[in-house]
Amino acid sequence: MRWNWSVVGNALKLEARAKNVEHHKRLKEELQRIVSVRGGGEKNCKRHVERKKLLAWDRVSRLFDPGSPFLELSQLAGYKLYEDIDLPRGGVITGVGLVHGRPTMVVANDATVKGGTYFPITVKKHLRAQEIARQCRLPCVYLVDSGGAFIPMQSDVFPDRDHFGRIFYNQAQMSAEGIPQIAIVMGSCTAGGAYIPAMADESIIVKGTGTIFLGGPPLVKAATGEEVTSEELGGAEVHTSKSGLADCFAVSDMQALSQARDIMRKYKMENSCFMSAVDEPVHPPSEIPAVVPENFAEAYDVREVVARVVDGSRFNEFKPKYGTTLVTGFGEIYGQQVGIIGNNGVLFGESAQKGSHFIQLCENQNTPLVFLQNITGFMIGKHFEHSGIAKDGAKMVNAVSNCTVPKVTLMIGGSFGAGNYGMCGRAYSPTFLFSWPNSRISVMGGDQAAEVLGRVQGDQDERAVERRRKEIRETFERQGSPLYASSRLWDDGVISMEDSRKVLGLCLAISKNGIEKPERGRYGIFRM
Amino acid sequence: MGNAGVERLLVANRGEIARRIFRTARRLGIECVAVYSDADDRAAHVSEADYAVRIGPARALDSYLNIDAILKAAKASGADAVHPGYGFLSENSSFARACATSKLNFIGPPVEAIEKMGSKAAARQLMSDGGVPVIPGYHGEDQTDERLFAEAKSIGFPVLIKPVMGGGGKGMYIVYDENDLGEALKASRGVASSAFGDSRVLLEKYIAQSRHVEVQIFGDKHGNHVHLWERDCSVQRRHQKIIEEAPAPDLGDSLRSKFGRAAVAAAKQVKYENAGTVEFILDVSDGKRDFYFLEMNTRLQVEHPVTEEITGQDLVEWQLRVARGERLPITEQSQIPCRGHAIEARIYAESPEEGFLPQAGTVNRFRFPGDPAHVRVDSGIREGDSVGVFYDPMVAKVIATGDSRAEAMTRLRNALRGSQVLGIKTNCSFVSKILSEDEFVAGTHDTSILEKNMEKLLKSSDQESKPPGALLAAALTRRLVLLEHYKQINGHNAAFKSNPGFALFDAPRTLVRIDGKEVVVEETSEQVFDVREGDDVIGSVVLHSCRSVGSDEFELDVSVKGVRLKWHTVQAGSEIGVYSFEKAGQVFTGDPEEEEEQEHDHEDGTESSIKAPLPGLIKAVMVQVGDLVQKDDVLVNLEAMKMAHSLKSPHAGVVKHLHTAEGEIVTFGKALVSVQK
Repeated sequence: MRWNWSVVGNALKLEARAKNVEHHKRLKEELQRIVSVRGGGEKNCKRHVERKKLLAWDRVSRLFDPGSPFLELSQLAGYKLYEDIDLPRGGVITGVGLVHGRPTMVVANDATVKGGTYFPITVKKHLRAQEIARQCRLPCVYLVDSGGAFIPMQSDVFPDRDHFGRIFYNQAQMSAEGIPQIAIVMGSCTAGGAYIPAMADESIIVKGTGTIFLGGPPLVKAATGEEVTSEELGGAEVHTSKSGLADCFAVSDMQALSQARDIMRKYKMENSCFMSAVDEPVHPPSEIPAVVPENFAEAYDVREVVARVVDGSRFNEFKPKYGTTLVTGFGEIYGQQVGIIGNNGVLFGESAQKGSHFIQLCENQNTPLVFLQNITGFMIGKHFEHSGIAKDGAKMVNAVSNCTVPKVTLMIGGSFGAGNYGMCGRAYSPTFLFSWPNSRISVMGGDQAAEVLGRVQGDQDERAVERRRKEIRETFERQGSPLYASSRLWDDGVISMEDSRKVLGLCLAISKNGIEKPERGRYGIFRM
Repeated sequence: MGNAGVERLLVANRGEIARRIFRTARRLGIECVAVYSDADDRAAHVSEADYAVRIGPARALDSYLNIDAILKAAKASGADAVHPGYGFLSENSSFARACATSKLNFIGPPVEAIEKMGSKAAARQLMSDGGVPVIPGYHGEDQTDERLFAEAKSIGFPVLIKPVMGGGGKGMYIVYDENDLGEALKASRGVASSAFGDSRVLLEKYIAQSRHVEVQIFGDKHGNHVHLWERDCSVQRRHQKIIEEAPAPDLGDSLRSKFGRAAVAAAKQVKYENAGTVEFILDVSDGKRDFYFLEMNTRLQVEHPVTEEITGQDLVEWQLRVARGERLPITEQSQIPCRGHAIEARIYAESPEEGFLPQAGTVNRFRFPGDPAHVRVDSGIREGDSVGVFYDPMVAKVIATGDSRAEAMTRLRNALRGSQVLGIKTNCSFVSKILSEDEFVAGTHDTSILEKNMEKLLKSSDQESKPPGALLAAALTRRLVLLEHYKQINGHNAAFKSNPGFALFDAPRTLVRIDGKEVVVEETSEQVFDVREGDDVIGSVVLHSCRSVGSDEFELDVSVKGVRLKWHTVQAGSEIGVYSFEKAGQVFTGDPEEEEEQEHDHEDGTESSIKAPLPGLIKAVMVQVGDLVQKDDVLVNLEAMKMAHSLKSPHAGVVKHLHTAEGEIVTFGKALVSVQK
């Protein structure tokens, strides 16, 4: 039946769109350059390796199955975030890969970056990884190699709800929910950090490099005068034979990772269903940069993006003639049924109602949702206010807020104002949220903000107004860029346009075991 | 025996020859009975017989040489005939007699012929009496100096002095001049009495350069005798034949017919029945062409296929028909065909580079390229079989034929070079190098060919004939296999399955291990792969197409440095073979699959695992789990390559695991015992 779904999208004359391609290529290359920086400099990496320790990314790749994809999260975390401090990837690598075929969240401290200490953004990234793991029921493997909280910034790391302590709270909660928590101590694990292995279901410690203690040798000496080496105080031998804080003794990083894989074997998932071959889109994903205009203010049909994301470019559109500025419909991504909502312009009342209807439909049928967000906002003006556009917008926000199916949001253009809410922005807890390099996010467009804020009451100096407007535009431009946004974890990462299909497919595959329907009073679908 | 039938044939042998005989028997509608030792429980010959009977433990003396057990097996299986094959009991007259007593049709010559030919001196006398040339010599009881001097002179110098009871060249002297004879006699007698307890010596004409030429003969119960031409088996290592061919090269028609007539004369002399081989030594020193009787083998020879190939006859069929009392299929000598040329190479499980050390292991792949019409493979093993250490290391024979010697030689060389053998080392490349030796190519070689060229032959300098970029091929193959396995594990989700190695803003890469080194295969753009070791790029490959032609077997169409190449690659076990047409294949070691790794993962510094240093048999286990042991306490006795090895504890401790038991045949590197400090 579903093969009767029509193929969407048009073949492109690529030559005519060389400018788009060129523009997006530049953005991609800049990102590639930033992301390619790994670790805290050559010297630190060299010293790390000399201690017979594997580098964080090598540890990660050896944990996962050979051939496993790695959906890394927040690669830009900490990018140009703190003055004078480079913090590649925020000092921690997080992401999802497969261990014995089961999607697994890894959190790996990078000790070459400021000794793996926790800056505010490090904590945020760690907590976000745990949040995803909890939502998707992903086993967590913590590769611990960290000096604990970054003391100079302790007030932004330690006291608040979503600070350091939340890591252990999450571990306890997930453990209670039956989500495996595994820790490998591959370096220091001091003070608060000691609770990561301590709170884990099972833990491994590496001889010679792994240490766990609440207070290190200098602190012990200062407090009690006792002189002790760190290995004596909390090395692998101590914790596997005396304290029982760790369960497995490993002689090397390699062995520890292989032991972790052995432990994970019992959490292997049985997958009985066989998936037949998947149709690639008729229109290849590599054409997306040609589809998307250089200037995001320029309109284009979001179906051209859909066509380059879904299997066989097949899209079964819902209510195509109603509320046409919102495109809704069903497709499959790597054989996974999905409801897609994309923007084709500003949201009107009808578009919002159609969106609400569609979200309820997907919720009712347990179909995950993909939001292709490119929205300047809801329509304004007397006519629209009078006909209750805010009320219609609220319906969509309500539907998005309460739907429990996995939601994946892709920022593919502008994200301004209340449109961000209806289209499942960060505040609406999408399971995953990724951005394209060309996307922009702010409460309103830079031009509009400059218009509104540029003129202080009674200001007559046109040059001052112009200068202020320019400053505002520049601030909005900088703060609205995905580099700025992703550095602060307003999303889960920036991806290249061409990878959209792969990333959406992986997100859906990773989140599919997380659906747990709350049993409570439900209604049928309201026709809006 | 009389005109006994052959309805159900027991083959008192194993491996290649048992399978060979079964093949003909089946064709003739005869049922097959195999016998096997414990070591051959799952051997190919056992599974190819209608009936199989166990005859004892692995040791040949207890099984394949155990006459009682074999006769019992014949009775149990209801066999009416016994074929002894070659080796083992094939020339044992007591066995032939026992068969007769048990009313079993013994496929071979009469007992008397075996007995007569079994005694070298008697055979020599018999041949000499019948006018067959024998090596001039003196084997008499009169050991006085005068007699020996006189005999030496009549033989003609140089002469060879050998202790009668000797062996292995001990006490053997070559004397070129009468004046040195006295001294040499004294020396030889001295060694003979001290080493063998018998001071008697014999004299023989010393032949400096010789070739080994033998003639296949056949006789029936009706007095017919023919020969099926000769074979040259001059390529030998320590009297072990390696390459045999028919007809013998560079012989000349008159010499050929002389050989034939002499052999038939020998056969008639002993009223020979069934298949036999008359071996001659051909003296080629100083351009001579003299031949002498050496010995007669009263059985089917290993190298019989070359004769079959040039005559178009099935010698096993001849044997069975003769045993049934029929006349020879061809009784007229002039009717025996001789077409083209055939060369056989014996494939041994051995490592020429390591002093021809016999090899044991599981043969994961065993293939020889070539058109079956021209390349015949008589093999004792199938892929997946294991080769043990108990019997002869010969695992197969590859026989190539051609209209000319050159054609047969090229076909054989191609088959050996392009051979795909994984799991064990073989002499394939060594033999293929012999086939390229100038002397061999010219057909002028003698039995010294290997000794003279050994150093050169052992140098693995066949570099230019290796598949180009083999390392790249191995790495790419390892990646393909890993991804193939990955897809099987993750068959459930197409998003995972379709995106192996995917990473954001990064090329998909796969970490593989080749010959112990970590190598990264990185897909830099679609179907373009960089193979790196650390930061060094070893090479770059464009993959045009990849055809999966079997499990973990691929045909790769690639470009390297702008040149299009074809690679045929296979992963079997932990080995990766890279082949390219008739170039010598190259074998790499990959990672053991994760599942297999587990066993070795116990070591954590407080525990040591004692592993088998060689493949072999566990003779004794001296400890039990929980035993306290001291450093250097013997844990296990391992018999490998006929040597006993005591495996000792590396430190004091407690025996934690025991992974083996007495009588087990273990592979190289198997963990046997673990001891915890």
